[in-house]
Amino acid sequence: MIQRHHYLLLLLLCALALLSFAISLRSGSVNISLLTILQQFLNPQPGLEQQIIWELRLPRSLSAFVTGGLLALSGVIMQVLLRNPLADPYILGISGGAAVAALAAILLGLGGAWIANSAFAGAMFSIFIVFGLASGFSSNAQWSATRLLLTGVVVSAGWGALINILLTTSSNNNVQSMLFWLMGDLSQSRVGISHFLLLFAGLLICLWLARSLNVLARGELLASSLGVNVSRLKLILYFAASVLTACAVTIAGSVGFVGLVIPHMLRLLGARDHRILIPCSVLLGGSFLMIADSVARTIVAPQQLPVGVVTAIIGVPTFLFILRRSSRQTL
Amino acid sequence: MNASIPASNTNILSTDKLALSIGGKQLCRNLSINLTSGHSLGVLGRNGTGKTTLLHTLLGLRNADVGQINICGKNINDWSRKELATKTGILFQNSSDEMPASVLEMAVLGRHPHSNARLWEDQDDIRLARHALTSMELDDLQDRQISSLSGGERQRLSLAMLLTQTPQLYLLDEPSNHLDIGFQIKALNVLQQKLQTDKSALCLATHDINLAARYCEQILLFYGNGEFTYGPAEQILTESNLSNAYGCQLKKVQTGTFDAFIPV
Repeated sequence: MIQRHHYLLLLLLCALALLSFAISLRSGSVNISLLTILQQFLNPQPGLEQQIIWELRLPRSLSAFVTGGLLALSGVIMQVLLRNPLADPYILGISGGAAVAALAAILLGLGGAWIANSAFAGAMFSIFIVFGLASGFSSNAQWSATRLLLTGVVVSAGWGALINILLTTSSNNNVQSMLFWLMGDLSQSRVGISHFLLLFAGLLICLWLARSLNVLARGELLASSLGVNVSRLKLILYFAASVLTACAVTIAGSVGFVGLVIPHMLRLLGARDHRILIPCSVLLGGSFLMIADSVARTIVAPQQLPVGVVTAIIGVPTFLFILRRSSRQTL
Repeated sequence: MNASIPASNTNILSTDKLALSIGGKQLCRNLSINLTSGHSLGVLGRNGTGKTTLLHTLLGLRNADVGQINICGKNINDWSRKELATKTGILFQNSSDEMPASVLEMAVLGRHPHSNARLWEDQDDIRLARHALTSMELDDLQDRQISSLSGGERQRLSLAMLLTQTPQLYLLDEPSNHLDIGFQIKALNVLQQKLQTDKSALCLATHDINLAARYCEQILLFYGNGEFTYGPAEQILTESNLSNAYGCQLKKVQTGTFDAFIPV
């Protein structure tokens, strides 16, 4: 039942992604025109401009896009899995586990790659702890959405306490980098081909499951009665969302707001069907984070803000505006 | 009972010595029912006597303690979840509407078991959904948000979704909930017609004795202590059986087409 306005929305979001990419490449302390950027892409000439574009801006733009796409996709999945509009990628404690491990790495004075790796390990550890506790460490036990949610929220609170211990006992110098990590920061991040492949694989798996997601959104009993293997689907969703989030956290720390709000924005714009919502979320999430990151590194230049601060500052009014507009029309 | 059924009617549902319990409470033992195409079974009994549990068990949503269930000639455990959903469909008592959707989007979900790994519904699916919405008089509300529907409209939407699913066995859990009397009759008339045209069967769990009396040839009456009676409606629906089951005095009233029961 694909409708014309769905195509239009997808097309618009593709255009937005390109526009955001251009803005992101243009942003920085050195002013480089779009034409020069295009020339550098088609025919790289050695020099300062080539270095800035290829070594600084392009990796950063790509990091922002991938992180935003991963978080928005994971947000969509979590909201269906828990059937809770307030669910976001971090609600099950994944970012908490990652944060504790990353902060510990910072405390030990380890470098960027170590911080990322320990964040990933911490996230995975938290995923298994929460799943194990929610399912009672047995494969055929019932794990309801509420049980999973409660387990996740409580484990998050535990991680929160550990984070505060690490923050209060660290030296000022470390606390600065810790805070940047906690708020989400792209200045240290480098994505590789594996991150792109993961985003693409996540997108394909979710599209393959999209029809079942539409049914699951209406409740587990109804989904069962319409032929969905609910326990298998939930298992796939839980691990897919977890791995996507863990990957995003590894790239940029815990960037807030994207995973919660991007899916809602799109639903309010009419993309309720997951077959449309899923690709749109990746595009809008990626574009949104590229723009937020452009703002983060230019607004108080030469200083940089953590991108997580900017996502909230841009996102809150935008979301409230859309919510208010749509409440007059459809709700 | 079986002897009176013409050979052209195929067996849709049969159970053999079913025992059900919930939360440690025994609901029934040795329940053997038999439902052929074109017929309806009314499930009656007081609150908490096992009507919903039976329906959920017949759909494979929970397991029976003991006994066999056959749906369309095959043991329920031998159907895959998706195949089973093309054979049986249920109207639940409750719906969870936390996530937004439009009326047409909801109705078309009924085609999910028939999707065969296709990403999008085809024209036939949409046509079936529109047709079902029209039969429940919801065609003007197709683009409305489900959150803006009244209770009765929401119930009719659930019925339309079930009709879109086109199962062989319709399981209805309290279909009259939220429906005014006109729509109660309308909905069951539509379903009764389906039983004839699609060679399907209907299992109706309700607290409305008269709805069951009007539409069902067979009645299963739970007494609440693990006991039940099952058989042709005219044998089961008696003043003494019903008064006994419901714990209040009921009186038979002749309406001309069926016998109604009212409390006195």
